[in-house]
Amino acid sequence: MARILVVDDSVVVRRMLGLVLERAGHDVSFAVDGEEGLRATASIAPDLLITDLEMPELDGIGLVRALRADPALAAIPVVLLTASADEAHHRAAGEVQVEGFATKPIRSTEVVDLVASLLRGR
Amino acid sequence: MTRRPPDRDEELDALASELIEVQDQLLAIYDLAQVMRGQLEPEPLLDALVGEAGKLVRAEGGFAALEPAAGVSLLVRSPGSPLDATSERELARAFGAGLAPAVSALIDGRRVLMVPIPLRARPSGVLGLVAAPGPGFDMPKQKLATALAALAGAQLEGVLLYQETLRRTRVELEFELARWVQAGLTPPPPARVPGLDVFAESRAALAVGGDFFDFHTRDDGRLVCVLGDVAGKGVPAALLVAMARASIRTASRDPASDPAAVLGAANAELGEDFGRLGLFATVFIARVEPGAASLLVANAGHSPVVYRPAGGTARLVRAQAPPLGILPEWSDASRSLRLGRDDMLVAATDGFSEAEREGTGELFGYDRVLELTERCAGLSAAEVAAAFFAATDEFSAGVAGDDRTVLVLRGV
Repeated sequence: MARILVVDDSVVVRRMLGLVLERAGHDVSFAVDGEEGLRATASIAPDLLITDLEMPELDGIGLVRALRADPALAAIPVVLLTASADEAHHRAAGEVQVEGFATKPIRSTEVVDLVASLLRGR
Repeated sequence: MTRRPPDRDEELDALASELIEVQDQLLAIYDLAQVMRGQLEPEPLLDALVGEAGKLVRAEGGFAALEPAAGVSLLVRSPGSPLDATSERELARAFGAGLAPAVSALIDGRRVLMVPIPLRARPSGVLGLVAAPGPGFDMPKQKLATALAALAGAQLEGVLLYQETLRRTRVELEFELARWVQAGLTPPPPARVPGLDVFAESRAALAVGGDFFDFHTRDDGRLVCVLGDVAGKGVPAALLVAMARASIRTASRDPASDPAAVLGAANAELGEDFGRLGLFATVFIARVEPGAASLLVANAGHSPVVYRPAGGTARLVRAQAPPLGILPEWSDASRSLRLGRDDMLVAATDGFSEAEREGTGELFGYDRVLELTERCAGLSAAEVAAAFFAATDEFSAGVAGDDRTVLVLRGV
């Protein structure tokens, strides 16, 4: 079991990812935007973070940059999810160092497999 | 940060659970469509269907089979399918035609769901999914499997159509190539020979065969007429015709060689190659003896030729030696036939004698060939050839099963 933080402004995505990951045996926490996600990361030190790209306040790119800038949090593996079809968003996602990137919607089995492979690789 | 409340909202979880399942199904259909779109062969397409459908309905295994009615017979199985391949084939055969939207059967204690894979709106194959021990697949899963099979069927139609088009294009290309080669080998009419009216024509059937004719004039002025039929069709036959024609031409140049000696020499040259390929050629040669009003002929296994002396009765002159390429050594003697005024010789390939009456399978036969030759007395060589084509066209209602080539020599 791992501690996983899900950061997404969509309650539907949070619910769905939460259920899938809990069924896979993980302990899941949630944040609704990048600012809250940053605070939560510092507070609970998750084993892995899954964040949306487009969010109010601090977006996923900003969140990842902030994490990487903090030596205490920089090593946490991050999966970046996006529903955006905008090429610019995809390029921006490619410029930050993340361990996983996927477009929404994503199959439940793929989420579980991706998380498992990143946790194995830690 | 919000921590999940300990008192779970079960209804919301149930809702999210349904949503996850529906989203997974939609994504599986999307993925399946993506995988299928790139396929040009039916097997990987069925593979993807079995794999994706199996995952979606949480089957223990599965298979997909196409029936011969689909134009291809195929069985694809998931690894570790609980059923054996024989059972799956039997199921596919039993349920392959006239299948209801979905059928659930108990096989070896397992619930097996079978749904049709429709092609051109007809069931032409089956997707079989084996359930884990228990009650089997519920209705939503049955409907999902049916939808996936229909999606695969639509894609398969495109794949099979592509393969059929490809096959036809290959055949047409080969046909064109063979025709081109054969047309290039058709000789021009021979130079006018005093006392002789000569004509030859070849008409190809649907598949280009190995019929050929040739004329060449030797250095001593004698005209050599050749009619032959190489076993096989298409490009291979056209190539063998080219070989046989060249070999006979070369052998004919020898001033000392008569038609039988030419055939013997051609057999010696071609025999090894033909033998290795398991092929042979029937060849008839007539050499016109200038001033002598006669022909010197030899026949290597070719259909009997018809000789009709002026004022006489048409009769068959049969080959007395085998085709080229059968024996290591070929030998026979040339025969002389008078070719005075209105004497006629008709050499035709078996496309005439074996012309078939549609429906009954009755052959044109040599009796009709002889009668036809009788009726042609007094006609020019070109008119005789035309009469041969017209008679066999009428007999077979215009459906030529084989190439037809005819050579007519008439004394004038």
